[in-house]
Amino acid sequence: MIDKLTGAIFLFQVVVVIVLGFAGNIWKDTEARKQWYVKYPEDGPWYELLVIPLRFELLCSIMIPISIKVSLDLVKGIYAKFIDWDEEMYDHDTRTPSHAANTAISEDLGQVEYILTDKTGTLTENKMIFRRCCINGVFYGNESGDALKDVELLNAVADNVADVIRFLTIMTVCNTVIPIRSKSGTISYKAQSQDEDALVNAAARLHMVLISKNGSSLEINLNGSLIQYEILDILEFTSDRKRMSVVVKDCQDGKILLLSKGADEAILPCAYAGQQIRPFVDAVEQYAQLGLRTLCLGWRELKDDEYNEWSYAFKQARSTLVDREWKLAEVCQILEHDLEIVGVTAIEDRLQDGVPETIETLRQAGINFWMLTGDKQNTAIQIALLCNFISSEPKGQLLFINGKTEDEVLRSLERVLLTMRITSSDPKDLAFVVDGWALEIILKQYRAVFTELAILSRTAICCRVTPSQKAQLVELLKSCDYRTLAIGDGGNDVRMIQQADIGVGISGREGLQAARAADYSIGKFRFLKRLILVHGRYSYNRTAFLSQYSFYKSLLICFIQIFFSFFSGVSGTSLFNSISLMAYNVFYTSIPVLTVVLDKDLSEKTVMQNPQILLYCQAGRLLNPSTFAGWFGRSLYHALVVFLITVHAYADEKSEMEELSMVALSGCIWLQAFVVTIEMNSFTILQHLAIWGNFAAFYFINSVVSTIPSAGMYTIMFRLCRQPSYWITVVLIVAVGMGPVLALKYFRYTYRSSAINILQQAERSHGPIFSMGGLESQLKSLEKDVASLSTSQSKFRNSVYEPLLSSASDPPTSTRRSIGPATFDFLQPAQSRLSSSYSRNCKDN
Amino acid sequence: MNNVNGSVVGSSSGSGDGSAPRRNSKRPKYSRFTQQELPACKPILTPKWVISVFTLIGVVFVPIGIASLMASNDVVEIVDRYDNVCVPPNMTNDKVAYIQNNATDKTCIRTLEVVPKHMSQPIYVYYQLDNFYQNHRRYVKSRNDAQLRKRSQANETSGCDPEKRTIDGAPIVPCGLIAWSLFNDTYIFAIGNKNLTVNKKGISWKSDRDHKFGKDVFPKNFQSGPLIGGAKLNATKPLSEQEDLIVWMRTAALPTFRKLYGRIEQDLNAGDVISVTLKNNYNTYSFSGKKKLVLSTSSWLGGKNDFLGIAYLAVGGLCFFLAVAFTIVYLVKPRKLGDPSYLSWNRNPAGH
Repeated sequence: MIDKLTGAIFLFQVVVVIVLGFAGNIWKDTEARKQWYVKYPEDGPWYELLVIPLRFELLCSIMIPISIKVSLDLVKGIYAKFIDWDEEMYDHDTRTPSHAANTAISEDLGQVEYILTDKTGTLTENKMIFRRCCINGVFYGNESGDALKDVELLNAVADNVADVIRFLTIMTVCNTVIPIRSKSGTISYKAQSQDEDALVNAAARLHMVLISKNGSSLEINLNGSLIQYEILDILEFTSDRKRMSVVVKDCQDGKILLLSKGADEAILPCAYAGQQIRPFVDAVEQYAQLGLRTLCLGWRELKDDEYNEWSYAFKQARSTLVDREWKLAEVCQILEHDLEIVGVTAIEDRLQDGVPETIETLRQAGINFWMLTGDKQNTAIQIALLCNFISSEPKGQLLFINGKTEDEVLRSLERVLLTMRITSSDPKDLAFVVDGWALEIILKQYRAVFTELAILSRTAICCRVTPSQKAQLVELLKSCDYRTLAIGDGGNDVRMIQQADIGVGISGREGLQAARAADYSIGKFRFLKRLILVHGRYSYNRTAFLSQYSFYKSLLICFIQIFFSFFSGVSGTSLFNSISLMAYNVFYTSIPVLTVVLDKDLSEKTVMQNPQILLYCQAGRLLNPSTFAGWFGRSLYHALVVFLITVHAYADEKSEMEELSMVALSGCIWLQAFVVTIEMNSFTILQHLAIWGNFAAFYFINSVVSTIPSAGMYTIMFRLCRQPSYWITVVLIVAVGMGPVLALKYFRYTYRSSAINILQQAERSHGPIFSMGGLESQLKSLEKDVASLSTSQSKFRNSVYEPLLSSASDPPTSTRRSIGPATFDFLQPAQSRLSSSYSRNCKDN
Repeated sequence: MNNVNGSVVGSSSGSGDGSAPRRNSKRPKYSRFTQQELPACKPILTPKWVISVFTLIGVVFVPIGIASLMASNDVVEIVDRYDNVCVPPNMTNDKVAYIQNNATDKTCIRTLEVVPKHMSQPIYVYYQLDNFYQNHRRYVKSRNDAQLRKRSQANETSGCDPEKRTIDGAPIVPCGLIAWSLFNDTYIFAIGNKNLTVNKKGISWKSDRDHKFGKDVFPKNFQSGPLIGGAKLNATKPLSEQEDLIVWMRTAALPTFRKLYGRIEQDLNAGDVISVTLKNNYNTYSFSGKKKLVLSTSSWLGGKNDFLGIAYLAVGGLCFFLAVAFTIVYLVKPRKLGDPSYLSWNRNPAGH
């Protein structure tokens, strides 16, 4: 915006220079030649024509303030420091302060329109806790919510039930966790994946303790007895295979075992023919409904020769240089079949503190949320519900985009778009859900349609997306001119973070990769609220004022020069001497306004309570062509006032060049002090010092310069200060200049008040705003109306472990399978099912 | 949602301080500045405040306006334009030729009508030029202050184009267009037969005489070129005593200006008739400028200038008017400040 305005001012400057240059040349030819005392040579070379335009170019060059660059860089640096310093964004758990790596974009934070967020580690804590499991169709932990406390499971372990032991063995062995024994004898685990860490720890709690791992040998302590395994091969996890396996040799009986764990769709198809996988599918579904992450565990015994044969192929694949990954995957595939599925683990990843409130607040602030996750659809939807991502019935509605083929996806997409269009006038909160497969097709083929959908929808959930798809989605939103913020914590979010206008990294458990790549790093998701609403908003407001003010003061002095040129034969004489001009630009008018970094239009509390106020920043209401036109007009008016009053008050015998220029300069300085005062919202001691100190400095500096005999303005300041007419003139300039500004501002403030004004009045005239019963209830009803839930939140939270979507009974594949004409039918029951389940939670509203 | 925020504040100020100060080195240091919590006063534009400001401006401005107007009224001023009448009738068609002819006698006698009011001394004598651009860029730059100040800098003529040096290259002191075009009309005043002495000492700024124009700098090669601009200077008097030059070289910022010619240090009574014998030497005809002779007394505010007084009265009146208007609007259509029901998102909740 500032760049555009600078461009506009530059054009204006060029026009002024050309017009005045022409006028100057014409005046020169018609008038100046008659003025013998100017002694224009009769005819000069052709380039004489350029002299006058160039002089005006010099005069007008200050129109684009150079100081704005320095001032902006300075205040932006301070904004960033304020973020670093902020105690309320200091994460006490990890002892990390927030950090602004990029100092240039603080004000963009206040203008965010879309937030794209990762799920795991960003919304959730990424602190995995083993909660439930299903072993061979028996559910553990369903009653208490914690399988580790489930007596049946503990008994089963104590009784050495074969399935359970097998299950625990896979949990303990099939991973890349490294046990570390400390001096005191306690064992801690070092894991790359939080899930594995959770599984090994859980197994340890169930008396299957992984003691040591030395090279290929592995020791387990089960109920006091030591079991040894030899690890033969590790078939590593990749995001394509979505599973990992280990081949181990049981040292007791020498059997070779393949132990596998992985996502349900990666493991269940590998079950041996004839195994009933239905119970496991059900279990997976049930857990997903609860927002739990599931892993399926399976195993198989290998014949010696089968293993040897495979092992050879595996080693070969490992040593190939070309396409190794692909070849490895292929070889792994050979081994991973005919598994006996043992069970399903369910790991809980809890929401971080304050996530629902943060999202709620930011959504009220008019920010649209997209959740991009690698997780499965049901888990994602469940988390989304938990954290207010999607509103509940009757306000919310989920629309699914799915399909396996292009046709299916397109039909599904168009249907969703149609629904979206129809209901877009409704206050309903619509959200669409799309998975990675469909998204791949959409991004390749139906970008335009999807873009329209993206614009209509406030919320989206994209599941099973890859890092590059995340980045593509960011790019798509950016291409629609939306200001995007991407927030994530892991390496898979880095591309999205870098692609977005603003990248926020959570310095979480998955390392600092994301935090390093990001513009801002914060410790917890909930700090995002403060980052945007407080820091982003203040920064935007301050920058808006600072930049427009910088143009105002430059234009002011420039207009005066232009007016003066009409009184000086359009010859390009400068009214002000160069020292005054320089001091005006870099000192008198730059220092006081820098204190705008401390300006707060509304208190932080008020902003947090009325997040809607952020709209003013998003819509750019404080810095746009029309506000700029206001400042432009103000500088024109003030220039007129200063110039006309000076010229009339210092006419005739007083019209001495140095005196008149100093009177005009004083007028500008006085006016700018009052302009800063009237535009500033809050005054700390620093502001007072800067504004009034600057004033004193102006008189002091000019007095000092006035004592230097060789200076042009020798004695001028003393002469002026002794003249009553000087003070009377300056006061008149201030009164005429500021009177209308004050009146207009008062009128707007009182009778055409913006929301900011109202809140200012409210917080200042009634004391702290939160004590206002009226507003509180107003806001409450508002919340009920618009975003619902504020009162039902607690209820909603209690119902976390209730299945919320009755479509739960359908396995996810079935929703994807329903295609063609059937899809429309599917939508309806899905909605009604949603509504019925939602209404259960929201009855109390 | 506020509780969360509050609890964060609470815990942050509570826990970190005592527990592990050493490992907390990364923790931001608390100060009111870093937390942007400096105590601040946040004035808002309440009707009371605004109305009283406008009333106050009115109360202050109207008396000042009256005082200024009275001061301006007390000043007695006689203005006489003579450039158009001090041309012999046969030359009115070609005034430029007349003024450029050095041979003709340019003496002209003007009778200033009756002095309207008693004028107490000192009475300032000004000449006023209209449409004379002393602020023209070519003109205003055409001087060299160093040369004027010091004898040793006589050769310093940079910036003096096109009146830098004589044809044979000798530096002109004082150089430049300003000095070259020095005003050269002269006036002699008389009441009846009695001459009025005009004191031409001390008409320039003392600071200029003392520091800007050297006591040992004498005019050299001045007005010796083929084209004579204005007055010639007495080459035996140092520049610091050439007060007409010093006055002239304080360039005016506007194309209409008055410059002090001298002071009459005696009272003039109402009804006195002053005759002025003037030499109409200065060429303003080629650019149709006007020349006026001004006799004026002075007040604490300067010469006769109604502008400030009128402006103050107008501004004061307007402020009163605004104060009254705001008060009436406030009484007729009171608006509760900070009523949240005015908030747009409260007004039409969810678009029902």
